Amino acid sequence: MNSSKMFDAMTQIDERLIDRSIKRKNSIINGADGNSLNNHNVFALRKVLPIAVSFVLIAAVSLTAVMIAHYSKPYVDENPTDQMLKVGFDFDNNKSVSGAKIAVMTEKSRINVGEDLSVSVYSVCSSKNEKTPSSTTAKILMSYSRIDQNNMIETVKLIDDGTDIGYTWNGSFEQMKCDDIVVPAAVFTKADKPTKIQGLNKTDGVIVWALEVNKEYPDGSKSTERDSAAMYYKIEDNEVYLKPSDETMELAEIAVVKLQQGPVFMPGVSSNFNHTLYDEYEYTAKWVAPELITLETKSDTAAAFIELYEDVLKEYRACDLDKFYAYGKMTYEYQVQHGEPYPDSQSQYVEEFRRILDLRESRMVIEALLALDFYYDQLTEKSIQRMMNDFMDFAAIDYASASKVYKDASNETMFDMYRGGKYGSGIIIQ
Amino acid sequence: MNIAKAISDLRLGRNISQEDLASALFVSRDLVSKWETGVRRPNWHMIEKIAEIFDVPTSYIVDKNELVYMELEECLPKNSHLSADKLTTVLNSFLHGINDIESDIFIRRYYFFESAAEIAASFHLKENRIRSTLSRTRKKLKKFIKEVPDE
Repeated sequence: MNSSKMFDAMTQIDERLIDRSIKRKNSIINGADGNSLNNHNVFALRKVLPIAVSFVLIAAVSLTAVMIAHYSKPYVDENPTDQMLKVGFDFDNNKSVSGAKIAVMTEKSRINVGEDLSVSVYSVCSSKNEKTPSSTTAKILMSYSRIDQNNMIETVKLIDDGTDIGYTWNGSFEQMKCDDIVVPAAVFTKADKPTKIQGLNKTDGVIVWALEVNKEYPDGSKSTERDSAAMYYKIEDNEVYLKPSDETMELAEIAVVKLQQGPVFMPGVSSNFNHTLYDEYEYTAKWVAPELITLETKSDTAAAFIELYEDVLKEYRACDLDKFYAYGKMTYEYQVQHGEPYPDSQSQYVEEFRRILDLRESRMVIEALLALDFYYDQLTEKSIQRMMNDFMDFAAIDYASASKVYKDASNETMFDMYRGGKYGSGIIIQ
Repeated sequence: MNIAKAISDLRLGRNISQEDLASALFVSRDLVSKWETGVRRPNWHMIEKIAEIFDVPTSYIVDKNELVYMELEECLPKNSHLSADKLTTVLNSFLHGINDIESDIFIRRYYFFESAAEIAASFHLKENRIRSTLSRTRKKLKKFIKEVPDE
């Protein structure tokens, strides 16, 4: 009868819980529940807001500087409830602008615990100095991250055809869409170990929105551009304090070094990595991945991933990792000392180094796929390829952290090193 | 999985009153009525007795191969030796400890056996979000149970 223990335990749960559930369902059906996950007022706002979007969009761009000016302040201090927060559209006049831009605005900067957060997501697409695409599709994603919890990525909006939603192409930034999204109260949960991030007071989690725009041109060529924006939150007493950030590089640092688990939106893109799992693999060599596969996600694809993972893991474990990291340290120190890349970039060991690195990245990608709450049958070759690309960046930070010799280096330095940039050996990615 | 309908269909099919079924099971007629209206759910022992009375396999009432049942059992760590009473206490503690909305969604799925689509419709949410919330809650519950010392 052991197999029915959970079934029986559920039949014995507190009747107040059951009655509350019935009551909530009835009140939602009757439209009387102000605390339902989707406040109906949002739908009303959805009809009104698009009219004002063009004006607000300009304001969003202009006020980005204001947002950045407030960036370094602790968000628990001087955080009026009714202040609108904005994040995104970090246009830099001196740099080429990405073809995809996303900005998010909240109605409030502070909400009560148990309260949904209404946000307006603005996405635009750039066509400046570009040829006119024959078709454009876009996707808005939202990620909930908490420090001590597995995270989730949700596709908030799919735009199958840009032309259907008023998207026009006239050589300048055009509003693509404004979506009013409700971040459910359940997302805002207190972490067991809040983390200090970017000089902010201890932070419980982060919400990230991302926009991915795919363009196809008349000559058959394609392009994909992405952008993301993030907002941190901190729960104190009975209130959730919000703080915007558009520093995706910093977000990567948070996710990898501080949060250490869950999906990560790297600059403009989405990835996932469960660092807790990683530690388990490294230090206990315990096989835990199958436990992460829920019944919903079981499929032939998942089974194939596990099989592939076992092969990769086996090969990776057979590598001389001490030598691997020691080599990384040696080339890094040479670079710092001599101001130029380590000269032995064509040696036989470099090939081995590359092989280990490839294995390491492949392993991480598969771990991420296994840890995702995605449905495997929805994964496409394209999306997997995209993850592989994302992990080139992700692996840079992870590798540098794992080497344990770059702890004093900034993430930017780590990226440069990995990519063969200013401080890099130039042998890893060329 | 619709336990309420299965019990109701069996009883009406045999032309047995709720009172007669209640007497045979040594429970109140009110409880049988609640089972049939889906307000309460019988435990496994009762399901076995009902199946025995109507001479049908338990799978007619609850199919253990159904996803919802397997999802629920998946929450119990394989090496757990908690007694049924203790497990109920732990489960109550867990459901009281998590967010109300997560708790309600969990109860709709694993007490009332509603599908993700049904829950999504009644909560005005996307089905994927319900699935994700359930998945996370199951993982949290499993972790929560794991941390309870065996008796």
